[in-house]
Amino acid sequence: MYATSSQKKDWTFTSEEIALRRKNANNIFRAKHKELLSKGEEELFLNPEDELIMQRIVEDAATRFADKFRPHIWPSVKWTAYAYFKRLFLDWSASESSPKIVIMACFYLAMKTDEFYVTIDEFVSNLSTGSPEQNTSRILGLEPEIMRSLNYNLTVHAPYRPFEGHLMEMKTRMVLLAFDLETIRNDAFKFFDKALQTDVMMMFSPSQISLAAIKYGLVTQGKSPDILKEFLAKLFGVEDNAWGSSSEGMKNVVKLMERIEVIINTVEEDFMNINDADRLQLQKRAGALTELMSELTRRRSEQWKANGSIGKAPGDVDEQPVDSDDE
Amino acid sequence: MMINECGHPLCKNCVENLFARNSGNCHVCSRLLKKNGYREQIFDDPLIDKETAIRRRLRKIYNLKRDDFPTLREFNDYQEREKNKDTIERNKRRLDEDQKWIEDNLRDERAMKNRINEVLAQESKENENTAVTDTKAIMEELRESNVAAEIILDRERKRQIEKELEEKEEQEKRKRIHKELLQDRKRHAESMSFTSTMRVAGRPYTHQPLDLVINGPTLPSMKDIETMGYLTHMKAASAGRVAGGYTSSLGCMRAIFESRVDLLAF
Repeated sequence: MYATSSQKKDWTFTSEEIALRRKNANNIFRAKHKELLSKGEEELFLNPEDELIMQRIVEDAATRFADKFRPHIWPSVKWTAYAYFKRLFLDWSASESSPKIVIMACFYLAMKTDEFYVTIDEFVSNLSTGSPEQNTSRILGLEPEIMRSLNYNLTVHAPYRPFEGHLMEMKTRMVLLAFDLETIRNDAFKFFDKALQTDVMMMFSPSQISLAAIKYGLVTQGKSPDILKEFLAKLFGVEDNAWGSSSEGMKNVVKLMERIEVIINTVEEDFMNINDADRLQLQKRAGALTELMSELTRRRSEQWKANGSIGKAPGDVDEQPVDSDDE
Repeated sequence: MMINECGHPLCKNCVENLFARNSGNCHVCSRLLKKNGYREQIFDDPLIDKETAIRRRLRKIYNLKRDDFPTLREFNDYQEREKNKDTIERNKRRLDEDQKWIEDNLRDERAMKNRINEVLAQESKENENTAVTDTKAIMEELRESNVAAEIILDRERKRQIEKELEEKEEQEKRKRIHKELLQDRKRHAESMSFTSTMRVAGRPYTHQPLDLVINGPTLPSMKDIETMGYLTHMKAASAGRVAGGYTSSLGCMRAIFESRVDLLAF
């Protein structure tokens, strides 16, 4: 139940909080490499905005990956995977961990938590880049790390079932509608797909997001949003003669309509239509950053040698036992 | 010549005569014999005849061979029995540890009872003696001292009364202790429990139905879902699922519940 979930307690923020955490993650990454930088190289680092664009590009690509995935995945798997991805990059920097492979690991984990069973071999056969063995080892290696960063809060409440609930409710209560409510389904799902590439899932409750999808669907189909208002009034038990009165129920309806508007606006604003030029430019910068990183690694090991090779060599990672049952 | 088990030969005519009644005494050793016990004497020496006869009979019981038994098992049993006859017999008479222990205890108990009885007997004897010496002493005193007899008797009577009182008190005390013991036992019996759980005194549990905070419009009841026509907009559950306990109203309820949770979370 969402009201008592970790999603509501620990993973719901305002947009300012989200921006702050992303900035922090970026700062931590910069601080790590600060001492080795020579003059001017600071410029090569991505700023939080660039990192966000990078995430969005990856999210966009992942939508296509999810659509092409065989066997067909159900929508809540997608929602869960995106939720993991967004939660991770609140604290991780996109410059440090490759978002491309992280989102794949998120998908793999989401399939497990959402009871959509695929083996790792089946999963990697859906990937177009990299060798299967390499992908397998990277995804399985990331999986426990992801779970640790998520604080093992793996349950994600998606808006798809609430959407079905609302739709059923509308069909039951709004008997006088002159059109078939199923016609809004396509557009509503388009809204959900768009919402996946925004931060709304970390800001609002799934029941409200699903209402926003309904409104979006109604508007796209050229219907009046008043239908939704009427439905909400019926849902809250506001009688017809109480229209315009300041009853408690009506206040709630008005507030909820405002909230729905906010959600739709957030989706529209947050959603980035990234054109190829932007993408190319970012790719260039990311490439430069990768070169810089390898240069920094070289400098670090030189420094380590100069200091008399004391302690662990930089880049040497303690192998942690991977707690995965797939191997 | 004929011969019987005692080994004293007799001619056939004599046997017919002496044992006309089928049984009679041997003419030599007066042993009671049966007429049909007589047989033809084979060896001249009656002693040898007797011995061979006994041996023959014994062979029928002992020294049997395998072909005397229908199965090998019975033959083995027989051999076993014969071989261990002595041991079995001995063991029958020997006591095992439990029996020994019981015997010992019984013996101890008997000894203890005897001892107690002895002590008691001695005590009563002594008592008698003291009573006797008491009266004797009083008599002496009466006779020899020059105190008035009244005073002496009075003193003795007083002493006797005191003694009796003391005894009475003692008895009462014993009674009281006994009574307390009984009461204690009774109380224990009343509160006795055969389960290992302890009785914990405390407030009885009152059930309070849990409050489901939805933060949205209240949910319709299961009945409402069926009567208000929600189910017409839902795929009917397959027969297999219904058999497994899933009804379409359950799924409907879940969707409606999730659509209302935190709808008013602003």
